[in-house]
Amino acid sequence: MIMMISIMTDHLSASVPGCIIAPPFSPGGYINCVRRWGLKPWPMRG
Amino acid sequence: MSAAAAAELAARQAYGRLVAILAARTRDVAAAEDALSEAFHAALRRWPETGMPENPVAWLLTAARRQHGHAHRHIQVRAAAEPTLRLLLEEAPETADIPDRRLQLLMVCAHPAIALEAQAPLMLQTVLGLDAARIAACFLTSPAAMSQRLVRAKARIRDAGIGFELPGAAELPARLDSVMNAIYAAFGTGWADLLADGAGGTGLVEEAIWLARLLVALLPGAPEPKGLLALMLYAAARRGARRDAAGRFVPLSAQDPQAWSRAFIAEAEALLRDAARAALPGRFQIEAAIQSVHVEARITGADRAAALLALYDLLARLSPTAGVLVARAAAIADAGHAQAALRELDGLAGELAGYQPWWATRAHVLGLLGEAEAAREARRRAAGLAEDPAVRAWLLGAQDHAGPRNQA
Repeated sequence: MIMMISIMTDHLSASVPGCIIAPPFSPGGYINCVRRWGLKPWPMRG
Repeated sequence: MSAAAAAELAARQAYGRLVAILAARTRDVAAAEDALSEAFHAALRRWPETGMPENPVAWLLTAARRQHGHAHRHIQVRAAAEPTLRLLLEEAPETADIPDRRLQLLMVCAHPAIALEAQAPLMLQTVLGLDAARIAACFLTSPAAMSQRLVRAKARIRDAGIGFELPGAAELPARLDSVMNAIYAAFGTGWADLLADGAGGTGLVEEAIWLARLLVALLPGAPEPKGLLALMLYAAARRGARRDAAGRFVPLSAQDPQAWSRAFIAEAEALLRDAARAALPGRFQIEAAIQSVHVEARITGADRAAALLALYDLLARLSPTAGVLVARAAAIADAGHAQAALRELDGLAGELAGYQPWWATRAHVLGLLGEAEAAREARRRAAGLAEDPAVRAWLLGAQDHAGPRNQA
């Protein structure tokens, strides 16, 4: 199902004139840093 | 990419490699550059017509040899370049692998014997092949003064006999720091220029990113160059979002994330994740991580004030510069401790009385504390010290509660 939605989304993106398909992107790279650097955990909200 | 652009790209990649190879033997960077200039003229003429050669570096070595046999256009230059050209003829392999000594060249440019203000210009010229006039425009100085600065630096390399060997393990971290600081100085200069004209700037931001990419490629196991590149990409990603259609300044907290470069941010995030594996935090990685927090918080709407403060605490321990300490005070305020932030700022007051970010942050913190009149006065001082007219106008028009935060 997820794959189907993904394919449809890609298809829609590709079919809209002038639409550029963004590269894969997931924010939050800093979390790896704070874990690796041994920083104290903090309460996560939001 | 057009044939001309492809030729220029290949020439640029070859330029630093060839200067590094030639100067490694002679330690005469100026002669190496003179010897190559004719070959590059020929390449930029020929490659768009004939297509790229399979091995551009070898092609350029061969072209330099042919040029040497032709009628002389620059006799004095050629005379000076004679020993280096002879070296070209003796050592030029037609197709063999040519070693990449650009890392050594970068280290030479950042040698302690080279004047600090010459290090970044020297890198731009010797590694990327930028001419002195363009570099002078980037650094807001006259072409003659920049030429002199570069000539002096190259003479220093030759006369002081600065070796093109990589420094030993004891010296390497400090030299790498110097290389990264010079690249970041070039980026900062380009960034200031972008702020000033609000348009394309001089291209120094792109050149600095190019150098950082090269450094990452040359030192794939080192985390800090990745942090440096990530930091610059995060900043460059927001370039288009920092002004509205009317040219007014837009602070980070009000920017439209859709206007950011997703490609740059995706690359920066990947670099940061990769760098973190070494578990060796450094100034540039931490600053990049702070950018990563801002990006995520802006995209998801999450409150990451505590994460920001944790990162600023670490940064302040490793690199307690004025900018870092002031930014940390802002992070303290945004984590819900405005009174503590004001105490931090008061503690820095004496030495930072003329520092624009100190006044801007002070205005923000006073605004959070409800001291509207004091906040307005601090904001007026910050506006007076702002070099960017758009930032000045924004500061003068900002509301107390909004505060002059996140100016980049």
